[in-house]
Amino acid sequence: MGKTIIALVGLIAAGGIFFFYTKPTYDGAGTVRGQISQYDAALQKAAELQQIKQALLAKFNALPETDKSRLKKLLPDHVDNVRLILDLDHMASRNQMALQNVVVSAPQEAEAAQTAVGAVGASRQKYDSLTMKFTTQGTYPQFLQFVLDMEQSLRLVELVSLKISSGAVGGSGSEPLYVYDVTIRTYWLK
Amino acid sequence: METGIQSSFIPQDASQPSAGPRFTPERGGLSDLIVLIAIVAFVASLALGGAVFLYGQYLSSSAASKLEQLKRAREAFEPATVQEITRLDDRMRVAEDVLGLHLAPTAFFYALQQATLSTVSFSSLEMSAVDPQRITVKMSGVAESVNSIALQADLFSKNGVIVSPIFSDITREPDGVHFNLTAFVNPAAINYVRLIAGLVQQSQPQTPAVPQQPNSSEQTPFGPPASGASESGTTTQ
Repeated sequence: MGKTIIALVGLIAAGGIFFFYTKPTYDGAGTVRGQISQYDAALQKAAELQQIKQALLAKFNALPETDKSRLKKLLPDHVDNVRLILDLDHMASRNQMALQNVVVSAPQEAEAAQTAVGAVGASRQKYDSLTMKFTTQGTYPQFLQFVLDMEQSLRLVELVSLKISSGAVGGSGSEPLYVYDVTIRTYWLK
Repeated sequence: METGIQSSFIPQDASQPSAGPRFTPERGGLSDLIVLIAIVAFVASLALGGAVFLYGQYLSSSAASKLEQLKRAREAFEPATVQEITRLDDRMRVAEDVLGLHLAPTAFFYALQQATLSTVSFSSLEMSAVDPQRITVKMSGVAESVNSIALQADLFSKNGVIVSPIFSDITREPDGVHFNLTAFVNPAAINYVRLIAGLVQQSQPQTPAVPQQPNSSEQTPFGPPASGASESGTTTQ
């Protein structure tokens, strides 16, 4: 009788330990194993990315600082429209012209607001643009030189529209003067 | 003859099986086996539980260690440096895109200057490049004669920069024949990058595609037409 009880208790205890501790703990260990395999994959990816980063860093460091600063001037981090106006005024004054009626507007936002598609497209774009209108007056050769300076300027300036109309006769010698209504667009990195 | 003396010291009853409890080797062996199995199962279960416990501890410490390695790997990335590199990459890509669409308006003006007859002059110009692929030009001007306009139309149609020129509102007035002109500008012909690439390929600085210094002595396409000029001549001789 005693042996039977011992046998029964032993079997029940063995089953209890197995079904109430060993199996659930082993199943739980399976989840941890899955986590570990994910960590392994992430570590492997991190090692690959570290190699890529090192290669990119080597390229980044190989790029001369002057080129980086020129790139930053070409496409600044913010619009810096006051600096642009000063640059344009300097270009105009070099050609005996003066900027007048400078109006600044942001067409990208206005266009994006018109349609939902435009809004999505604008948000994905990594750059933004600003439109600036101004009027100037001068002879045709002076204006041509001014446009040449603009198109070759490091700060990227795009001609959007231009209107040339007759102005007052005068200027240097018999050169006729013209009024130029210019709209330009400039860009910056978002 | 019976002597009454026992010939054997073994009692006679002892050779007979007793009526008391008998020993059964089969029943006792089975119960012992079951007890043994139960004990073995219990011990095995205990051992297995212990092994699983240790395995769980090992896995937990391994997971914690790998998590720590991942954190160190993330710190080793130096997010500030990565952001700086990414920013530069974005800047280079955007600069390439934007420069690809950059226009050289002076190329148009020089083409206009070269293609304009000396008997034709323009008094106004409206240029729209809102869409860089569809640049429109509207001009009004004066010509010495209708023949000049016809010749001018022919010259523009052969020009690679001014496309689809349409002369309209042609009216004869005391100072000449007035007209309006609408045309498109070939965006490829005034694309800054293409012009620079062409300049590099040509390697001929004496004939630049993008003019470096406009010559103020050249006659402009704007202003009054040159009086008495021949119709075959253009403004840049």
